[in-house]
Amino acid sequence: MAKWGMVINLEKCVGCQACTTACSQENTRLPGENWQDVLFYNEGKNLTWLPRPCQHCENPSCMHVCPTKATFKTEDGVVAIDWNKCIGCKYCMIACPYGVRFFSDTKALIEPDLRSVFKDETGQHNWNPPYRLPEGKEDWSHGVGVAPTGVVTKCTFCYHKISKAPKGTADLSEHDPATKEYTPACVRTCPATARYFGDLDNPNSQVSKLINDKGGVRLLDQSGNKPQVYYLTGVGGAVPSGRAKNV
Amino acid sequence: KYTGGGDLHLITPKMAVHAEGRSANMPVAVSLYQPATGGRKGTMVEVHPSVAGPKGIRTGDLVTIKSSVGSITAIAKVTELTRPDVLVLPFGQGHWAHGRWASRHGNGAHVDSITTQQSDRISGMANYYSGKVTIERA
Repeated sequence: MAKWGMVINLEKCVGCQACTTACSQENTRLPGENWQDVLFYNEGKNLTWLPRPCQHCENPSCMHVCPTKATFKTEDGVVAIDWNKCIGCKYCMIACPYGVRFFSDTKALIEPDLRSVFKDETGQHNWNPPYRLPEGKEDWSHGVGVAPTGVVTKCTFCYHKISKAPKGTADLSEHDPATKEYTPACVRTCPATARYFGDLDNPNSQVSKLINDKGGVRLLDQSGNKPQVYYLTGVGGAVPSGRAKNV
Repeated sequence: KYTGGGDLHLITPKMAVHAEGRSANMPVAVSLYQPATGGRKGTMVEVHPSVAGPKGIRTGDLVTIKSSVGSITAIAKVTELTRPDVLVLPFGQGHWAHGRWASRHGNGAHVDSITTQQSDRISGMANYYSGKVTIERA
């Protein structure tokens, strides 16, 4: 089975938030529920930014604290939430060192609240968006689709797309016509091609080669979570370079 | 040459997410307007510490920006990222109509309330960055 991972090249990322926007549309997110988020930092004379999806850790804190085992790791390396089992205790939201989880019943960021404007009369989902994945593609057992009330949601690595990729595919890229339909929305949209997605277990995949050749680093490595999202750093990026100073 | 009668240049750039005017009424776009709004109840104006210090302005304070044609209120962001003689306040905020999400309460500063009307001599196009304004704590 694949071990899906992502590489984000901070030397190419311009902070345009196209990835955040693409994710919000692909997964019908409410404003503020940025499964993929670009974090901005003002540090004196520097403005830096960092795209931060769920890191889909090898050793996820969220999974270890879940009382109902609603959060689990799939065979292909994706950390998913089963909305049929989630009780909305939010323990995982506290445990996650990266803050990537969102609660479906939080106070609205932008008024008027879309949940009251586009009410779901059946009560099954927390809102009824005017555009959405067809019912057949919703997958509550992996946290895909419009959430019910009272559960935790997070980035799924676009599981509804990547799970359809043929077995053994090394890379999912928007530039390869054979795989672009399976590529996660954030990767596919990036105008700078700063994001790459592929099989970390395959030493010949582009993500594996990028991590090895360019010294991909992980965020908060001291937490021991071992994220599967690697960042390529360099001069001027938000993450300090793991390589020699002059590179 | 410079209009407005103030002492600081006002520039009104476009934010990266502000692709076109429609995004003012799209809730997800409104929540993403970085770095000046991003879902906050107001627009942030970048002001250099050498200007903010003497006036007692700190990040988060409400400030009034005045020119010869009007005044607006914005939230100050004190940062070294801008030139000391320049205020940076992105345009495209401060709608009072255009839809229920664009005209939400406390939604921002409308920079064209204080932009004076002056046309370029050669092209005839509007000069947006020729104004000079004053800034004070509100």
